[in-house]
Amino acid sequence: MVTHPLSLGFLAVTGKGGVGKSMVAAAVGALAARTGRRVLICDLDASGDVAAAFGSPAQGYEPVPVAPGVDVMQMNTEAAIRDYLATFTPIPVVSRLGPVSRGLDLMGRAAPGVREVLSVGKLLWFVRQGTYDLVVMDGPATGHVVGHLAAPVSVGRLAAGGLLADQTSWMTDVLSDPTVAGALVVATPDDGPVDEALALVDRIPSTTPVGLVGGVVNRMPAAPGLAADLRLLDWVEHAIAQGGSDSASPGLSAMVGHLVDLRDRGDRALGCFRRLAERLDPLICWSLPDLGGDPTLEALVEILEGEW
Amino acid sequence: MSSPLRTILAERSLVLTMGSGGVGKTTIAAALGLGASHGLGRSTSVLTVDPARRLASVYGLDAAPGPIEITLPPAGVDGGRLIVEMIDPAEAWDDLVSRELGAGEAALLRQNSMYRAVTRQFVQSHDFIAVERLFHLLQRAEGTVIVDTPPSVRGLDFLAGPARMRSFLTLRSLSWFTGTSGGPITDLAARPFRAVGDRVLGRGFVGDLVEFFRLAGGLVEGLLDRADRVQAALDGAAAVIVTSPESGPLIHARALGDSLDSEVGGPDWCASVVNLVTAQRPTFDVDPVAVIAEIEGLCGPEQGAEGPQGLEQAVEGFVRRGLERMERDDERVVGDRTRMSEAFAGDGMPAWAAVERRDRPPASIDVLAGIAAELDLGPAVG
Repeated sequence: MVTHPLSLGFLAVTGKGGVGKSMVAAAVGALAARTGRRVLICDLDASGDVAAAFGSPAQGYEPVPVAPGVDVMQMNTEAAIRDYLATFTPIPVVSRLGPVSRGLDLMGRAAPGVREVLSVGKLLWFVRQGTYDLVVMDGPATGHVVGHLAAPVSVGRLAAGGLLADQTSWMTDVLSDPTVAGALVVATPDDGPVDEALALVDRIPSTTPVGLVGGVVNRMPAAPGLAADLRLLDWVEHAIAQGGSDSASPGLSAMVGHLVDLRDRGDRALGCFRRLAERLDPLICWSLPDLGGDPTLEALVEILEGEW
Repeated sequence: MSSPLRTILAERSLVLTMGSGGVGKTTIAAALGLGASHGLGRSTSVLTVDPARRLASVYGLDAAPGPIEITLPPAGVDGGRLIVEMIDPAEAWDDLVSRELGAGEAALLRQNSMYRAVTRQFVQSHDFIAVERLFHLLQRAEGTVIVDTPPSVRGLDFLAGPARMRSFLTLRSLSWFTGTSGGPITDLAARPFRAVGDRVLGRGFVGDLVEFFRLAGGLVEGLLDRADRVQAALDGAAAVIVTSPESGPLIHARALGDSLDSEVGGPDWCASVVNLVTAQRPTFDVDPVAVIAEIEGLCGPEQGAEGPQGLEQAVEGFVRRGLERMERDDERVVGDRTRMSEAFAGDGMPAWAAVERRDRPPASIDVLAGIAAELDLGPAVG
């Protein structure tokens, strides 16, 4: 039984750069907020894209409300390290300013996985404390997200015997509970993004404690007409081809040429969608339509609400 | 009159393609490489950090380790040569370690759990090694070096590589805290830190970390020296910002360009390429009535199976919806163009060029030659 993305406590939105992850993360968050859930969306790359989707300027490390029920924050690893040291380490306040603190700070940055574990830990802490009902992590580019989701396990192993490693065990518990945490892979219907999504479908379950909850193929092109139109299009295309290039007026040729391009592009997009959907099966692969170069969040939320 | 990209490729020895993910930076870097070599007759190298070695497939080749010389199409400008190199960060680190350290220390370092985690799992180390490889390429390359920078919304991350490499490697100062430098005073100073470090990170982890920095210490001087020289080379470099016509990437592209302009030193924002642009259709007037009549004329008896009334309705609906769709798509193309011009409008803004969206990612030298021609980098022009 797979939990629906909207009823999770922690959702990682992943996929290749440029596929609209931030927009999907924002739409999922906004939709969850409509059902009365308190939502935090974290922009892990600190790109400002999530805030921009809500029409807000880039936010900082502290969560800021951008819509009713939706807060947005940008991850800042330095701040997360400081946050952690201030909360959990047994250092007296005075020496936090001194070389001991600086040394720990440096070590936190140098030790592999520590940044990642503290970033993810910050978000999972919100889940654990119940500060938010849903925390959406707008993931970094493909590959990096695996490092983040795997960090509690790898740090737990590398740093065995330390306080941090002890704390990674509750993080791993949260991440590996399929009713609480899940990952959503996002792609566009092109070969490159789907290949990367397929790689994530393999790598997330095999190298991280997190389970997949489904996929989204974003920017699916609309079909160039109704089913009857498509039958007629095939027929007219065929008739023009048989009659030779002069058999149609420039207007008809242009219209048919345009619609044939759209049909072929739609077929290719459908092929890409199926490749991901078949691999995800029995998980659901949703599709979101192409809304043009400057899509609005409201439009996407409406469509997602219909799908979900 | 030479196009801006021709001038850049002819005059600059280091050209960087920069931009957010998914906009086709690697494709554009590959096309610039082809343009510089085949179109301008320059000796050219293209470098990308990509464990998947996709750069090779863009040229229609199988991935292979090490640099590959690309066979250029016929009828190019004399003297052109094109070499592409894809860095696998893990391999590059291992090479570096073997080259710079003694066999014993190299073997120890390669077994260190910290080293493996740093070089395999955590991507910050990729920028360091890219800068290292870039140094060697700049040493031996003549002509133009094109670097496809790792995708980043901020884009400047890669350029910060040398500076971050310095701060990372000078963490040798950790050895002072961790008490490995010996001497009673430092050991005394290290005690509270070591206690906290062991408590937070675990004794084994801290031990591994200290060992890592001790072994990596032999790499530091050389790396820092080379990083300085790459930093100096970046000062004269040209940045070509790559974006798609969507609003998000355009906003990031403009912000990236502005931040390059405001930096003292570093690469200059010399040009932008808007990739994945939908081609503009030639405009024409369509008379729906004439088109409907024309289709009905084309229709044979099998199309009239539902009776003449049914056919007429079907054709009418087909033409109406078809023309509406064309209009909507045309508006979208105009919207893209407007956003592109607005994003790069302003006094003294570098020139930008558009490259059309292909149905599939380029996978042959012919497709790349087409893109180079769109960028006015073909051999015939000039």
